Amino acid sequence: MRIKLSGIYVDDQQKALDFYTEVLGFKKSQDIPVGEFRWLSLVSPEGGDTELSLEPNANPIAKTYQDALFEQGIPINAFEVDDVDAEFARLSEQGVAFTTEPMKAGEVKLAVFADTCGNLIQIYQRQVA
Amino acid sequence: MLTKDRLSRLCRARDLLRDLDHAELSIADVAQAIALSRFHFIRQFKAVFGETPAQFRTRERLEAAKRLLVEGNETVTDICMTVGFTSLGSFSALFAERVGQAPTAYRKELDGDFASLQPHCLMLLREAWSADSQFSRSQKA
Repeated sequence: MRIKLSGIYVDDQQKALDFYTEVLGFKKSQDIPVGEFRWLSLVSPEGGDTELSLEPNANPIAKTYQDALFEQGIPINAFEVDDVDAEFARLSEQGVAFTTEPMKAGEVKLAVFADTCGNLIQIYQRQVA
Repeated sequence: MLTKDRLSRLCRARDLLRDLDHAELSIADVAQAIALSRFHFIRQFKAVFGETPAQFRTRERLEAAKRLLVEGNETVTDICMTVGFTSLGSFSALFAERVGQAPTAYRKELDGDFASLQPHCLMLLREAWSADSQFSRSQKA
């Protein structure tokens, strides 16, 4: 058993694809039309074979879940980075809105931003002891 | 930096923009309701939600129209008014531009298939990888 696929809900798949590839820097992996939606997934350019699917939040249950997390300031997913401060600077430069600026939290340093698709995303950096 | 209070106000604005019962509110009205200047409201809303308040509201209205077309029996004119458009012509033109077909054609094609309007992960995965999907056919070609 392997963890190969994770997913997040997005309010608009094309908008999400643009943000996750052009701003965050992920690469599109699969893009398969399914009716008026798409099976859309991403991979990291830094390696690893885990994919992240961008799923439409068209189901009201998904939207309720997504909205509740967002309104409470809770990230829906987290990505590991080498340097949180550098990513904060890079993304801020591109207009990304952060709800948490880089801060230490025990063994990690983290920051949280809005992904423009209805989610908050945490980035974290493992601290070397 | 987006404070918790600012995030909360932007969420309140998003709720107002989605609410078909508040279709009469202008963008300036919504900005005022959350105590932000119109300029700052539009700028911050776009940074957080990836589109301007007006773009967001239009997309939400079209999504609402799609649901009403599929699940109900209201006329296209009634649906147009229900979701906040005042002109049937501009509604139909915009719907066709964004969805790819006219409201009546869309209703006819989905023919009450409400499930396809709200897919879930398993359904998308199953459909995408099914033997007769466009993707599978292209892989075999």
